[in-house]
Amino acid sequence: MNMKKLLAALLACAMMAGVLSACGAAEEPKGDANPGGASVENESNDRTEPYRLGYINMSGYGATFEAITTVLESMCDAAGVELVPVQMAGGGADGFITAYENLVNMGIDGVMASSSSEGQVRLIAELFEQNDVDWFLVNRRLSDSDLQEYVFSQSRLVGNEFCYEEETAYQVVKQLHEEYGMKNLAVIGLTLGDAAGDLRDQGIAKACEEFGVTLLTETRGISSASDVTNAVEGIITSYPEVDGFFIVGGSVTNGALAGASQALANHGMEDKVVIGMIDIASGMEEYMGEGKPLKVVAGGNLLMDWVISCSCMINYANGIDTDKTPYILNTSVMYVKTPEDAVDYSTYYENPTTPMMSGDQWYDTLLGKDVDTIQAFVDNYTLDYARSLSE
Amino acid sequence: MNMKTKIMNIVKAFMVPVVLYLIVLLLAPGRVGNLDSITSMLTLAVVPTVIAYGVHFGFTSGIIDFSVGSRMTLAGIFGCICGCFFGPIGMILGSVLASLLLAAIIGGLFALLKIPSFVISLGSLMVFEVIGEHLTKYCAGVLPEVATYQYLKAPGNMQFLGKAPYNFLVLIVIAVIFELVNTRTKIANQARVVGSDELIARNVGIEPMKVKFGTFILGSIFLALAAVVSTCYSSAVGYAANMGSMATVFKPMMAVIIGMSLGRIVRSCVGIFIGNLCLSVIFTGIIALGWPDNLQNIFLGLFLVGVLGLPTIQRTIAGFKRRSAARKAHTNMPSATGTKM
Repeated sequence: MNMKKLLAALLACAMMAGVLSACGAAEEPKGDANPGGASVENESNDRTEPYRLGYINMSGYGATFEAITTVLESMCDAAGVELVPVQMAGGGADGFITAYENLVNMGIDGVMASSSSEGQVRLIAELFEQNDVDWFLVNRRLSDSDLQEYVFSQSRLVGNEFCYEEETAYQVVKQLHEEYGMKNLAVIGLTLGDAAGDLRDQGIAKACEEFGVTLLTETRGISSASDVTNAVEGIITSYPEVDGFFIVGGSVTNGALAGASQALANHGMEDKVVIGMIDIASGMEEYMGEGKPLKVVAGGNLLMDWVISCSCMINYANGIDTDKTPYILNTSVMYVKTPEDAVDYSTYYENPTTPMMSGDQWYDTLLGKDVDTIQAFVDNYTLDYARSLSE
Repeated sequence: MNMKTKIMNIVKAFMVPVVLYLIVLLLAPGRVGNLDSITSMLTLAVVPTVIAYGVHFGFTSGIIDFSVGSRMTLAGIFGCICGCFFGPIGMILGSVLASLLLAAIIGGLFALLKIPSFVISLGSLMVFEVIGEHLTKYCAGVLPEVATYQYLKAPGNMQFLGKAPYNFLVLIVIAVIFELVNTRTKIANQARVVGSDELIARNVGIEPMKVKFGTFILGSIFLALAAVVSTCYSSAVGYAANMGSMATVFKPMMAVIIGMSLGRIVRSCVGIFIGNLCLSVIFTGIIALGWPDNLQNIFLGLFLVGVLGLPTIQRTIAGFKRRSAARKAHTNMPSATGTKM
């Protein structure tokens, strides 16, 4: 048998295995179906099988998303809910819609739904309504009033939560200006059209206008650490007066912070220029502290978005506050400013391997609680509180 | 071609980035009219130029390879790991070996399965990105001194390679090697023949698939060097996910096209560098002018079309001049016609 025939035979076997596995039984639930003994119901009190809660597993996008998966698994495990993950093939609107269609086909009862833009939300809503799937719109503030009216009128919508992105960006600029005297800012932004990026841009513009900060220039579409070094290098040489950089999406490009710091170090400007950033970057403590450029990092809302969405869905399935839907909740960010805080943040809060709370702690704080208690928990959550939970 | 013509041609070719620079200088005199800014523009062109040298061989033989960024990332990651254990030599050798291995895989699949290069490179890119991601995260666990969950750090004693003037020295050495390989080796010449007409290449006894496999291998050495220089320049190499590494190849590919169109007057190594320098001037110019970033893409697109269209425009103008000269000569001939009659 020549090589071509061998490869063709192997390919045929692989395809056959794929077909057989796709036609086979659904995946077995992870772990014990209801270890905590929680009574999980949905519509019918006679229900014995666990509630099946779907979500798109985006662990490949970085440590933050790995931490989200860890937390969701922990909470669902504690509540006796079956977490049904699905992988997304490619980003963008099509990737999200296909993933949700897959989840519906897998027979989920509810889903925590996110989207890359507002444009997909109507389609997502229709999909879940037609298939009688409870859904929670995660991390998406609807700016279109018609769409908002339509979405909030859907019978299966459990809730919607979001973070005020423009406020976060505004606060970062404000802190760089008031605490470090930054007056001339350059922005390393997300690509235009990114929903969060556009809102953050608005916040930056508002803060610059209000505090008299000059917005010197911007660069976008960064894809590697050396791209960031290029951009910062170009900005430093063209604008010697620059005294602040804003990395609008720190987790979008791995190594962005290292690349920016290296360019500053090359020009001996590490202690003359301050950096503010949104989104937590792994290893950021190395660039913080005396004589280092990184001064403010805003983040943490992404993990909390999923924590409260998941707790709301579980509580709803257990019949709590079912008459108050759709719930509207907000998350806020934490501001990390010291290397010690950066280390603790990664250890006690956004940890890819250890969930932020244990089974009992989920019940003490979020599970079985009403919406107002959940909102209060989010509003009062601090790094000190995260530390205290581990003691 | 005598020495004077050669020098004049090089000067002519360098006029393109110089003119672009002068335009930027006119528009933003206080921003780019200093030595720091010029050094920065030259520095920005270094890494893409080395990448373009790696892309050139495949491109001339008709290969469109989107996996370049992912291979560079993996080579950089391997380089950092080996650099951690074996120092600077380890970093270079680690990168080169990893890059050769990856090129052998993708080139081997391409030659064996005979799938179009852009398809196989896209498939490989996705696999390589996942490997890069897992390797980075694994290293964060076992080598916390060099790796985080997002990136690996370049060895401190190698970072000088990314800074001026050492990066320029490295570029000159690599350019000389590239020029020697490009003009003196059988594989590079055969790649050009295959790229211009595969049927003719077959008729003269060249095996196109073997040549294309060879270009993957040859290019990978330059990509490994680009990975080392790039990692030293930014002090880190981060993994890319969801096809994020694909964009790495676009600007070097544009520079190769510009280099090829300048090929009539300067050597490829110089033409490619000029192409990257032009892109670097445009990039810095747009930053200096404070224009929105999306304008950069518009200018890059227009510039590429302009450079590629230039020979056609020149030919059209020359043709027009010839025709009008002939018409003029014809209108000056009535007396001769009259004599005949």
